[in-house]
Amino acid sequence: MFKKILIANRGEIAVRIARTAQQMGIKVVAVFSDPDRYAPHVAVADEAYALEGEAAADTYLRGDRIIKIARHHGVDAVHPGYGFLSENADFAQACLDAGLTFIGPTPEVIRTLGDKLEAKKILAAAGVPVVPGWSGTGHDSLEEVAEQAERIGYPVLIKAAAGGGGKGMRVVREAAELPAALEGARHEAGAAFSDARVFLEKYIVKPRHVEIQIFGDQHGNVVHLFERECSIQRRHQKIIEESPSPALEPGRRGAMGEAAVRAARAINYTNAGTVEFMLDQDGSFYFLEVNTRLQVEHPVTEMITARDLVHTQLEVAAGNPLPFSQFDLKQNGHAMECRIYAEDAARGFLPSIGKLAIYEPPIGPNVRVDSGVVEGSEVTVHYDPMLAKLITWGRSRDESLARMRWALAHWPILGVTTNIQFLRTLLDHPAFVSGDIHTQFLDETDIETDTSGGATDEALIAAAWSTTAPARGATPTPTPDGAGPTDHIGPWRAGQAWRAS
Amino acid sequence: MIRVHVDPGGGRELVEVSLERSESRSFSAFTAHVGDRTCDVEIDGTPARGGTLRMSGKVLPFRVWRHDDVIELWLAGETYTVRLPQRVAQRAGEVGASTPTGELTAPMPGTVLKINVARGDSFEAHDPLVVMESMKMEMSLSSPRAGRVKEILCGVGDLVVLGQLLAKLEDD
Repeated sequence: MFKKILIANRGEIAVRIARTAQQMGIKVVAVFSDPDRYAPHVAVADEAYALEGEAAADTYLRGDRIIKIARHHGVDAVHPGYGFLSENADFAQACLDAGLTFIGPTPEVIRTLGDKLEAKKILAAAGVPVVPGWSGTGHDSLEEVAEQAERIGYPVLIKAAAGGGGKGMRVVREAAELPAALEGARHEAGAAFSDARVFLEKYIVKPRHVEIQIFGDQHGNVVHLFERECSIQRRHQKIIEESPSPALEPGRRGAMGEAAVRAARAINYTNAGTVEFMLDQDGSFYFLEVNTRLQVEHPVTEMITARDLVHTQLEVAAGNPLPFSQFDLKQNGHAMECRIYAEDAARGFLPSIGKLAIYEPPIGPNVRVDSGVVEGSEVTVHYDPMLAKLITWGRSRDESLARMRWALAHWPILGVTTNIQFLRTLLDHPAFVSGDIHTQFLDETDIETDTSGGATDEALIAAAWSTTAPARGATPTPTPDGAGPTDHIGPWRAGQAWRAS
Repeated sequence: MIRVHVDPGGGRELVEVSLERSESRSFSAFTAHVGDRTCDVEIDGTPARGGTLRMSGKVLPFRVWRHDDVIELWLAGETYTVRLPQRVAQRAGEVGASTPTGELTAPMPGTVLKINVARGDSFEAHDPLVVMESMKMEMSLSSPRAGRVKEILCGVGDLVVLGQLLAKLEDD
């Protein structure tokens, strides 16, 4: 096993990886940007080295500097976390070239799966279901397109071959709409991309996002660790994840798990990965992409399988066989994760920055908090606004949901605005409670978070009582005359009429 | 005695909130007045951080963060923002400097220890008029120029907030 690893990341995931590594007796090297000098991921490390600069591009994305630090300080392996360099095949290769183990799949696998169209081709050939479609020549006759649309089955989506940003895209619900839609899409695509070629794809109405956690080792073993449903998204940003999915019955779950394992075998996948699927309302599922990293929402899987995925990543990366077989893995109970963001739902989800004046994560049975900040931390504009992940477990979905409600209601955070109120409202929505959700749910549903009714009497009483303490936020005004300890009170030092003496 | 005017937010009018220490019960027991409503409450904790409010049997944990005249509050799962608007006007230096009459206001939250003058008394510049204590520090409040006490608005033992009006002063 490794003696020392470098975690090329920050925030909650760097803290979380460090905990497991240290529990295994492995020393942890942290790297940090200027704003992160006193961040929790640095505080928990055994050694920490600066990546001078503020922006991610100058710090956590500087693979060259990170590898130099790793080599200089006797590191055996690099864990990339998620985001930043985690799915960068060149970085993975550079680690290997420098004699370091990259804790993740091989550079070849990362590169292949990073090309989404290529990945789709390879996996379709391996028998993994992909969204039915037809590309033709791009200039086919209406009759031919109509025939293919019929074969795929309505509704279909017309997409521009040169596509992007919804330009040249049309949803066609029935055959009668096709001629006009095809002409419109070709015209729009031609105008936008100087390329009028279009292709057809089955349009999935209100799909769910269901993904399968996979794991492979260097000895040919591949397993899946069941699904995570991540349909609650806002602008493609996942907010709530859970497992088991309320939509999967055992047969479908087994089929998806097998498809994911098939995908992993087809590309000799090693280490942790996630195969993402769209789940249609009729139960069909279609491959989306493979994420070649540890996912943000991996604790959900850890809670229901009682396995430490980071522990497993380290073992597999060190060349050990997977410590469990498919047969050993059981889905026990239900787990749910809410991402706690520093953002203001009432103001269009703008990121909220500031100092965390109060930050007391909830503690209780089957409640887990993976946090990247502590009380006193500054939430800055430089990085992702996710403060922490709150994960709860229960014997049933009702139980983990009740526990989640409890935990959200017992988490005081002051100093920045968070999405906790938004989450609490969302968790009470009848559609969410019944598990009747899809990826467009948040775009279509108004989650009323406006609490502009003002403070209650209880709040006013508490506020009045608190005024007996001095304000904590105000900066003391410097005194020019080196006055004594009683003299640092602002208004009295600014040359005013009545003053203390 | 704590008495503040607060802006409860939500476009509502200012509300006067006062907390009067109940003599019969513990140090944490108060009679609270919010506007024209009155109730008995118990508050335990640290004013700079928060604590627990008990009110007609309900137990409500709360946390506060005050910065300048804004109080951010978390109470039993909900968050609120409350403002102390009168403090802006009552800030010592903003009144008095250019007018013949002045207002002596508390430069810090704390307790009134001593009042050395009475209504109508004349004083010299830098005479200690009121002595306050806060966080184990004593502080004498005085005037930079001579004058006369027009009115005393506090009593010995009063808990006062930052900016609270303690006395009105006028030129002799």
